[in-house]
Amino acid sequence: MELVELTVNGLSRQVAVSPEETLLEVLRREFQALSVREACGIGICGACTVLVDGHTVSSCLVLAGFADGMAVGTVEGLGGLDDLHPVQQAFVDETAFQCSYCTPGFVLATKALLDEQPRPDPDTIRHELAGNLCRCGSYQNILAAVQTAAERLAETERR
Amino acid sequence: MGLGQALFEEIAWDEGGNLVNPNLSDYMIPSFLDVPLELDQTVLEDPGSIDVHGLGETALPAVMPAVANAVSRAVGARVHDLPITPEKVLRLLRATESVGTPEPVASATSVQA
Repeated sequence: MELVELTVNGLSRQVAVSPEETLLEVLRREFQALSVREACGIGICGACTVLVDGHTVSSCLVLAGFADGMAVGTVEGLGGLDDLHPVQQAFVDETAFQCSYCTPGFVLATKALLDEQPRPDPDTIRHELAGNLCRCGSYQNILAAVQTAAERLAETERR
Repeated sequence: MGLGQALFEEIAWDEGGNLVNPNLSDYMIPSFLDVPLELDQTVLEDPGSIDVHGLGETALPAVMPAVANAVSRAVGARVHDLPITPEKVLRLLRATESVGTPEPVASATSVQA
């Protein structure tokens, strides 16, 4: 076992991890970040997406031992039920989900995209979010949600 | 989801009955780049109704035959198993050219272990 210091959504803790554990497992077990989900476990599907320094990372591919000193962002840190982040609100308003298993990953990927490119065109959105898979096929609504989120964020910027 | 089954998804077995592609890397489901940019839905019985509810995935099974029909109409010969891959269509076209009558295409799923 090894001690690593992790900051998740602003909260720092030292946690004991085994050498073979992934950041995904530690986030769920030690930080109750249950929005971070395992689907494929091999970095293909994006359900385990977290934000590290504002960039998307597949947490199933990061060994917990290498995460010492990392600052991780999950959907739990984006907004609460009464206080949704504009990206989350856009996903709700556009019904950009069916079973919603992929939704946290998409929300974080969207936030990362819009932080970098505030007005992406549809092609850019599709390419940048191609690393998140949606088995239910909500892609059309997700595209609309990203565009809606972009518009609303741009409006807030202008005010 | 139906497009995935129609065009991409294939469960591959080897001769020992072992699943050859048990992961999302080799079992292809559509990504953002694989789906059409626009999808239109037409509600047939009661188009103006706001009382339409989603009920499971009852519309799903219709997608694969619809795609198969479209391909067969376009190509002039029918693919008989899923997924409808470019390789199957190409083999079908070649078989149709050389023989003159459409032949069922042998399944591409058998893998030499």
